[in-house]
Amino acid sequence: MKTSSCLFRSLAILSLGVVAIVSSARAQVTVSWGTESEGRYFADAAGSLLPEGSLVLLGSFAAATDFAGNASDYSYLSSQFTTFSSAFIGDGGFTGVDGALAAASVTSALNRQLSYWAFNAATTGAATEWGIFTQTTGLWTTPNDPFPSSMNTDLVDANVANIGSFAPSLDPLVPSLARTAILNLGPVATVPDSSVGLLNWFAIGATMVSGRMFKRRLGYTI
Amino acid sequence: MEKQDWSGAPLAYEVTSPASIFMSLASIRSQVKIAVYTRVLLLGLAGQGAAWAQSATTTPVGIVTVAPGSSAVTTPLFFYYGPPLAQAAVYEGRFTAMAGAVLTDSGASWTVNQFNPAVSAAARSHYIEVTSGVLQGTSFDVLATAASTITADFSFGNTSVVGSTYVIRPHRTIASLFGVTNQAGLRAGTELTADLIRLWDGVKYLDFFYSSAAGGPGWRKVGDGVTDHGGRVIKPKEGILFKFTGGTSPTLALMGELQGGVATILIAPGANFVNPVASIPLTLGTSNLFTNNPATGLKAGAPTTADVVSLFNGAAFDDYYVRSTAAGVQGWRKAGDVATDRSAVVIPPGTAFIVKRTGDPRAFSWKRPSLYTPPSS
Repeated sequence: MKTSSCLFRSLAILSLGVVAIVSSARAQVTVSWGTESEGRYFADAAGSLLPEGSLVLLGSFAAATDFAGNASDYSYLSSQFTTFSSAFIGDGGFTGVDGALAAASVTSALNRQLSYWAFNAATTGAATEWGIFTQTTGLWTTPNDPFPSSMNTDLVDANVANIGSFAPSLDPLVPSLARTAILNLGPVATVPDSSVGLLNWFAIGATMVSGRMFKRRLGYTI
Repeated sequence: MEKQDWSGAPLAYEVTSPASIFMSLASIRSQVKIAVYTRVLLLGLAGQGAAWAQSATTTPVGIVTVAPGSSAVTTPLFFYYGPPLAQAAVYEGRFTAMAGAVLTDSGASWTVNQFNPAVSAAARSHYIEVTSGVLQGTSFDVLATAASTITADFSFGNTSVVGSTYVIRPHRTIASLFGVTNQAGLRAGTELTADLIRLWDGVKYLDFFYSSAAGGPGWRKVGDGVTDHGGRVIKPKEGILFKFTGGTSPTLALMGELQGGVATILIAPGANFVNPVASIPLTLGTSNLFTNNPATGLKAGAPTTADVVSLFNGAAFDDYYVRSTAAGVQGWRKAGDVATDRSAVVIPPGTAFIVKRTGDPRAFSWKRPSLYTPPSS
């Protein structure tokens, strides 16, 4: 059953106009960011999840930024920060969920390490606390390639708290959620180091927040 | 051969696409219908004996025209191209025996090396596409050809293709697709000024361009301005990324066969640049990319834990995944929005996309569904 294109093939010539998907823009990197994995949430220094409407920025800090010496100096920090995008707690389908957001943003910045800068208010001016978190093993570094690409970041992968701290699981009653953690936003006036932040959190808010998280987890993951 | 009786089935598709595509589909439907009827007829003949020796297929042949842009290119234009038509088959048959990777068609009378280069073992000139049976839609290169046997570049394991039908198609190359002397009209120049053809080798992109150097125009690779790369094979399910750098973007015309049956596409761990070989729109929900089993399809989870499908929207990528939480599978979502169902998102015909298989370390074979299949009623 050899096929000959001349003898056996029905030459039904079709003409199909394909709508081209093209770009006239510069190479763009799409970054998904936030807490989409629900493995970590944003919380204030007292351990309370940030309320809906709280501001979170996506951007990149200058390499030589002195966080420790300027933790409460907004002017200095903002001068070191290039904002790529902003979103609010509750965005991306997390309506009614404190401490969580999901967003996707596009940037043309190449080879830049991304940071999340979270505030405990809807505007930077109204905020009394903030936290700055990043990831330093390359997961949050935009590609150095002038072609379109995408990358997925999530708070659960952050490994450095430039300002603020990481907390372990808030749900001692639910061991299966051991990866759950909350990031504390350092108070602007008295920014604690990580260990102090943890101690503060455990001493002041553990019981209250654990109960709250447990209740929330019941609503989302069980 | 298709073994389903299509004679009474309406060939309809649920398509949400521009009118221009929809009108074209009407034409395709009628042609596909003709082909399907013919296939049913051939099955009937086969059941009566020796008619196979005289049989023929009527797979529709088509021309797809792609015009990435009609105006002058002042900034780079990107286009993720998935050739939606297969090269016309040069042989059809049925496997009658196999021993390892050596496949026998007792009805064949080939010449030695007919479907493979005689000299270079590394080169490939033709591939086999299985058109029925358990490996339907799978394709693999021809390593050697004898009178009635072909050696395949494929590990069959315990899987048998005896009794399966197949076709043999020539590979496309850069030169065959765009012309030995760049008849497609891509912008020639240096690696910095020419239009780029970007191909994924499984680990990294390789960039090719048409050199206008006075010393020797031809197809070159970035980083290698001397060697002729016009013979670089473009596999049938391989995506092509264009970067148009200036001038007027060309119109690309592709002639080939509709590959309407199931297409089996390997999704390997890591990044995959996939051509679904689809001449009609697919949707995420009906793509069969997600099977609820990470051994046979995408893994669900969050964007950082799930496998991700990246579709170019004309300006940037949109990432899609199947969201799953402890409460169960939530469905297709776009990264950055956990609430909205995205199962109706369209993969346009003629486009390639990226699958990031990072949620699971195993490869799987994506069974791109048949384009002929009518919706279940």
